[in-house]
Amino acid sequence: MTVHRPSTPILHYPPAAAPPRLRHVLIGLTILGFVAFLAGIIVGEGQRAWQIYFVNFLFWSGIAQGGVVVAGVYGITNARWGDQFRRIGEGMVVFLPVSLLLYAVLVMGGGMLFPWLHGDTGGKEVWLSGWFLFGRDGIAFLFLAWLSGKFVAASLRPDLGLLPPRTDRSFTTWLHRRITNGWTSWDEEEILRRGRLARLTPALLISFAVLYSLIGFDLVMALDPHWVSTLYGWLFFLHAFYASLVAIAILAIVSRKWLKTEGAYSVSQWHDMGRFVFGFCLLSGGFFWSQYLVIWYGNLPSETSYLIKRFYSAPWEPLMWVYIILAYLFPLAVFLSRRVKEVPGALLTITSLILLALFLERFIAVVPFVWTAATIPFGIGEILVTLGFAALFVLCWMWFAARVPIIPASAGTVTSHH
Amino acid sequence: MTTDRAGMEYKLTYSDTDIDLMKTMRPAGRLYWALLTVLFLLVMAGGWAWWMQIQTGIGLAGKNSPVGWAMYITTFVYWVGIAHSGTLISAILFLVRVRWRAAVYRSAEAVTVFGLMTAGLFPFIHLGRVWVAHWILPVPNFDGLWPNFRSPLAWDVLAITTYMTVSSTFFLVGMLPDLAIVRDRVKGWRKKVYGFLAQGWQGTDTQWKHYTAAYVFLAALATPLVISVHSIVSWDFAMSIIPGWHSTIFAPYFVAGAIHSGLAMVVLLLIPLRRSFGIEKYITMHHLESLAKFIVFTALVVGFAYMVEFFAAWYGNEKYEKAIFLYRMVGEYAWAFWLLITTNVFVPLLLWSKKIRTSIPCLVVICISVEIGMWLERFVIIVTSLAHDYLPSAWGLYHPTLTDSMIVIGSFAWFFFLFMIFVKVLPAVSMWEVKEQLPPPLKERG
Repeated sequence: MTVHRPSTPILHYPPAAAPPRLRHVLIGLTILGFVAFLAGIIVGEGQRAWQIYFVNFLFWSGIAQGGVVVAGVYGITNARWGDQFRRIGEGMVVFLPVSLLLYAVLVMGGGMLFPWLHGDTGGKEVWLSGWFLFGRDGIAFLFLAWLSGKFVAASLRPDLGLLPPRTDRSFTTWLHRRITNGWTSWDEEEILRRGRLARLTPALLISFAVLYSLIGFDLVMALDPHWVSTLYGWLFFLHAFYASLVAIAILAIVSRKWLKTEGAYSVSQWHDMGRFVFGFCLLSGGFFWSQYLVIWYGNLPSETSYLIKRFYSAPWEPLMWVYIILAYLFPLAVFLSRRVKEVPGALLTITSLILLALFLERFIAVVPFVWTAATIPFGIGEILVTLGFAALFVLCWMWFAARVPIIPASAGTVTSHH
Repeated sequence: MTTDRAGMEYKLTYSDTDIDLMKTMRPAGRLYWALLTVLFLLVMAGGWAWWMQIQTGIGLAGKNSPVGWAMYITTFVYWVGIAHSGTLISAILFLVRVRWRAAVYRSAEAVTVFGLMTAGLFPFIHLGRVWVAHWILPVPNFDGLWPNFRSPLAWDVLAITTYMTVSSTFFLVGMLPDLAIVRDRVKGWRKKVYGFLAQGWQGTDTQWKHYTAAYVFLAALATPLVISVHSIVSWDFAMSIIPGWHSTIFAPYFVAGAIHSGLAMVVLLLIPLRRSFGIEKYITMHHLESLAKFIVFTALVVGFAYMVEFFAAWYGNEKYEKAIFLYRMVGEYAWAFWLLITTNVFVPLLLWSKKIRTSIPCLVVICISVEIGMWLERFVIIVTSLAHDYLPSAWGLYHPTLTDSMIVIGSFAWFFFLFMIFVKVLPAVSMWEVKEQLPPPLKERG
């Protein structure tokens, strides 16, 4: 494989809009999801509506935030094979402002999800009081969205200047002008970009690790205010990162056709992506196991309630096994094959299953805390709400891909010899 | 100095490489022998202290009831941690194709092997009655013994011996092409010895094909092992319900700390190595700076882990857990706690500054600080929790004695002694991988 770096910047892959039919389907699904959520509340299934909303909020917001962080990791580690993937992660930034609105809605349902808000919190009345809990997490989400926006704007600036100037009076034009204000030349901007990202990336990564740990402790672990696991915060942000990584792989594969980026990826890049996912499968599997084993071995009643409910009790036990198999054991086995990592179709299948498993992880982490009946609350309403969130996430990303070159000019073109 | 992406100077050639990098194996000078003698004497002093402990009894060491695990286990965990950097630099950076690893990985692998050889002494030293050491082996029951396979101590034996086997194999296999280069350049009995070690390596296409496959396989095998070994060591503590030990975060936190100390040790060894043998062209400031950046990352991770532990103790609102974390900050060992926080987290964060991380004296001071901090971290975890657990009537303090201090100092001397021997008898920088990073020697046009 040879990588040719352009001496003069050429955008080989200009922005492209998704097929209208796909957009219409996604808009329809988003509306349907919203209607299903409202219907759930109106018909007296508020508990179920709020809990699936909450699971989806955590899952898709985590992916969006993690996507920008993955892009930062590619940059800070000089992983040049990831040049073709990093902007896919950056594109997820568009969901973050939407996620802030979704969080504001979520706060309204707090009473359904955190019934202890006005009750026994095990001596943490101030820390777990509603205003403080939702307030600090809201600030955390807001800060991360702002920092991610700055990061992505700095990263996009050199390439946006290469696009033809926009003349219409739209939000995109305003944003475009704001980002490219004072743009000189691609070469100079590229040097400036590296300098800016060298400062912003560590701040982004540290903020993500710290604030997502806090959010994990606050919004999931605190669903049972008496349960503590020191590792939970790390596990929470690691799962968000892992989900973002597989989401980037999936988007890279499925968007190739309409973005006409088939030529941008070489076999070795798919292989590297597969290896990256495999690495995080091992790492997050190791974290998961570390938490499980220590609690199981210690056998302290204050800790084991979490495990017993999820690993050894109906109706959650089978779901837990599906999650373990799809998120860890299955990828561990199949990714040993080099071929599987090199074929986009195979990679798509495996990463999609991992993404499904990681959604299940959020579901199993949240719902057993708040749902007391002996059934798994996942019916047509939950499916529609989930599809609605997924569609909204993809729509946000498509909005980005229609306005920004998804393969950076600095990535050059790739010619594969195989 | 202009360097390429692997961190080496552009103008180097294949023939320079063999000549320059074999300088380390030339007959040693006076300084080398003087240093080796000092280290040998310190090893002997440590050995003598151990012998006295065997003769007199374990009471010569300061450990007692309730602090039954003290300096020896602290130092054991510390050395296992040191052993982590080798595999990180060698295997993981190889798999993710980080090119600058080529010039530094051999020394890092040596750190792994010698770190494990040093750590491996401590369970025996700690036992007291070392002649019944075979009782700790997780073998099927015999002689009326009933080894507890559910004990993390038994897992330790398995994990560390597996890690030792794989890392030693990786170390030796990685050296084969270089050993063949040495074989072809020496005479007499040395030729026979290196010929045996090179295992008939001729550099044929078939040999390279199998070699590359084996190398990738070993790297892939070593990577999960590096994570698992220190996780299992951490579970020696976390599986118990002693306050301050029973924590789910211990595995990743121990691994991060292990890498932290291991990287600092590699930097501390590379700096005199490059200077003494004039190989700054190969182990450049770029390499040291890359390692320094890694140290900043691991300092952040361990610092964050400390914060999370304190947060969880406060949040859990469990009185014994809260008490032990308070005790660490204000109790008898508070000096060690605050010193570890300073040396392990705040001092290495100075490496954010490019000016500091590209200054050799600063790097040396900061890496020594990390080593002190990481040793103290293990000490604080182990000793404070045992000294101050549930019952006030069972509280007690630990004071080091001359015997255990001499043994610990001896272990450091033993490690450096082994490394110095390694530098003289084996190629300390990989010649074949360094060549891979250089432009091939093509005929010049015109």
